[in-house]
Amino acid sequence: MSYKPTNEDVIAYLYGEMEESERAQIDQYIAEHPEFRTELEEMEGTRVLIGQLEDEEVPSPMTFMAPSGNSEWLYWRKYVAIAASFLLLLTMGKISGINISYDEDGLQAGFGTIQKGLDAETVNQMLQADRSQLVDWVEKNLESVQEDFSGELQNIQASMNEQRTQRPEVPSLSDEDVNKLLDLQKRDLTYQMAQLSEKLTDDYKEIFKELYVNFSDNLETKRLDDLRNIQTAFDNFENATQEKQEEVEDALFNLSREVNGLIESQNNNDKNN
Amino acid sequence: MKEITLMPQTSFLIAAARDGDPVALNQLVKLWYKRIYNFAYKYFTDHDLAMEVTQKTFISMNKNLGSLKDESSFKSWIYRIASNYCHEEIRKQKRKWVFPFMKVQQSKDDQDFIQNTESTWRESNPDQEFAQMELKELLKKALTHLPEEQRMVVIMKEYEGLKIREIAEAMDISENTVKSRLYYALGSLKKLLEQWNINKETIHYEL
Repeated sequence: MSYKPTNEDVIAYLYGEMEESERAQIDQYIAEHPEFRTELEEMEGTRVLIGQLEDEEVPSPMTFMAPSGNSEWLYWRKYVAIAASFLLLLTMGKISGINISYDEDGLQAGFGTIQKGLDAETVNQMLQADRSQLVDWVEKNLESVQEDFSGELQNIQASMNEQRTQRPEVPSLSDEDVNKLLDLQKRDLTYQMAQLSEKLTDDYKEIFKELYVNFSDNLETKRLDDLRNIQTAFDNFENATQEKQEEVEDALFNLSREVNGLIESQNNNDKNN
Repeated sequence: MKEITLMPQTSFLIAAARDGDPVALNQLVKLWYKRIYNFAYKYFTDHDLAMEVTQKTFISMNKNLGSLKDESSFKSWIYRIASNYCHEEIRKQKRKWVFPFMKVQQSKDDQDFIQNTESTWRESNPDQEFAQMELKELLKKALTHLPEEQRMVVIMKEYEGLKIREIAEAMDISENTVKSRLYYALGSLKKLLEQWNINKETIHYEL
């Protein structure tokens, strides 16, 4: 017989959670296999050992708060609350004498009896009255201002007339006196002008002098520079000419030598021939 | 293994709580609070994380109780919620950046602790209560050594007494996967406990 219980079978057997038929099969296997019996016994022993671990004492368990027992009341509670608040509102309104009404004039609220506001017609009348009052006042004021103004004007005219009549009484100077005064002024003025011009000429003299000196200095240095430049130019020219001359001499010398050479070779040739 | 006999009351309470009976709801919480807390505690070995998961689980339970079709599947349903919150916490913890040297420190502490306990056991007259406390710590430590998915299966099976089918439902995996995870988990635990010199004799000696 080749039956061998699986690990799962062992566990099921160990915990007694096995079908009756399979159980018989394992019982038979145990009888035939003593080593399997020891294995089972060892497992059982382990179970006993770990079974020594006891429960911990628990802190007092949590409790769920029991909701209020009267569930009918629970249901009605919110409506009662609404009604109560409404009642409270009414009572407070009554005590404080609050009065709210709504008609074609609109929503009105107030403490005590409501005093109706003004209607459009009375408001118009009031506006008109106010306006006419204002116009009256303006007109009156204008009149008074005009009166004041004309009075003032008359006053001014009167005073002007007065002045005109007073004018010839102004004291007048004789021609001689005037001339004397003018002369005095003239002399004064000329004196001042003379002084000024004198001062000015002195200043100008200084400036011109300086200018002149500067100019002459400048001219002198310029002239010297120019002369120096001309001299160097001449020197250069002279050098260049000398060099040219030497070159020409050299060339002439070379030429004469070549010519001599030629003549000599010619002579030699003649001789050989 | 403790026999979990909460189901008969639970079915009745669920029905009442679903109808909006606050007393039934609180009774339901009271009934399962210890289980869920211990489930989460064994998973994290941390009181604060366990409390966090427990409270979230029951808040979620309260909110979603109406969507629970079958009262008999309440158990896997509530463990499913709890295990989801556990996974969420683990993800959150992983996202937190931990100083490397702190990690090293912690593992060194573990080793020291284990060595100390071993030497204590070799002593001729151990303080029994003290040793018992240490056995508990070691078993917790052994659980934390398991990979997360194996740890969860073991806790559900060994400490919460869920059936293999219920675990499969709660974790959204096949029954065969549950069985094989249990098999390997028991194997690793056996090895660990042997390594730490914990066996039947030591237990009986201490008890």
